[in-house]
Amino acid sequence: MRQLLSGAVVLIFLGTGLWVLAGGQEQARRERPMLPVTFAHTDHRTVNCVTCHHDYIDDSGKGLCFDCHKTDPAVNALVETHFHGLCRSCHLTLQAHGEDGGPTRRCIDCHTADEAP
Amino acid sequence: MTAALLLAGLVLLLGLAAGALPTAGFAWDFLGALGFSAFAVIAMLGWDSESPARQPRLDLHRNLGIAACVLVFLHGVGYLLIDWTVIEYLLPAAPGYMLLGVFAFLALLAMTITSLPRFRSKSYGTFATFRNWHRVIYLAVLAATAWHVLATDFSLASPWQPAAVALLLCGVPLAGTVARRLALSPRLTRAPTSTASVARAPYLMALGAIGLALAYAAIKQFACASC
Repeated sequence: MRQLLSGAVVLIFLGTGLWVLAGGQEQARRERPMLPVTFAHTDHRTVNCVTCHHDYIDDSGKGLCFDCHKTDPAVNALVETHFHGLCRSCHLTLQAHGEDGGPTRRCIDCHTADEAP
Repeated sequence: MTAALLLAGLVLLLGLAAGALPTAGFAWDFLGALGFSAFAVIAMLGWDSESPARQPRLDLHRNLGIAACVLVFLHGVGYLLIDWTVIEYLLPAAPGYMLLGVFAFLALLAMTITSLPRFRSKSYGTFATFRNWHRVIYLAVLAATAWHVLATDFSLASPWQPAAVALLLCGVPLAGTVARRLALSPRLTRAPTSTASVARAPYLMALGAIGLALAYAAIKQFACASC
């Protein structure tokens, strides 16, 4: 029983480590379908377009954000920072100034079907 | 128990002081605070680590472990119930700090179950092996929980708060051990006198933690009424 338990624990740890080292987690992140995201451009008219649409000025790509940010190995590991981080920091700054800043934590506030203009 | 409740209260106060972070709703704030309480109880288990030669202390330590498991379980399942998208944080593609939270819970659960007298000798063999593994797994749980709390960054607004959490985390188990070794306070080495009170303590503590979490969420709602 004891040997079985120890063996199982060692196997789980080794397996997980090898899976991460072999790029398994990055692949899982790339292949996982996107959650729906709602975004209202009308609520963000005061924000400079290039704050988010950096490709307008740096010629780093065309098309939708997630064409690169979800699939490109160079940036997809940073998808959390580039999206959650960018949205949250801006919303928190606004709220710190007493303005309506939008969602900061609850996942479902943003990850819902996009019906916004 | 007093020290544990004080510790839970201190950790919650760190959250309360986070004026810059607006409320995310009563349930969300409550569950976050519950996670902080669980973290405090896990740290408290380190304080109690020198214990259990005598039966009441052993019961206290074991029941504290079970209380920590229950609090962490409520923290995770509660989030899933109020926001189904949280399940993304439990899948292999989730960020590392969330997977570490899942790992910490599973490891805590495993170490709690395998430490019960019924399974202990089957799982570890000798007492010395058990004690060594218990320490190693505890430290892994503590480190993973700390990383989960600090890197998730949902509640700690200013830079001093993570620093205070880290200080608390390292300081509490260390202070308990050092104080006992140096016998600075006889109270720290004294076993509780009443078995009944010891058996009750973790349940009261868990209720206290839930109460503090509720209070935190309520105060946050009140303080952020205009957010």
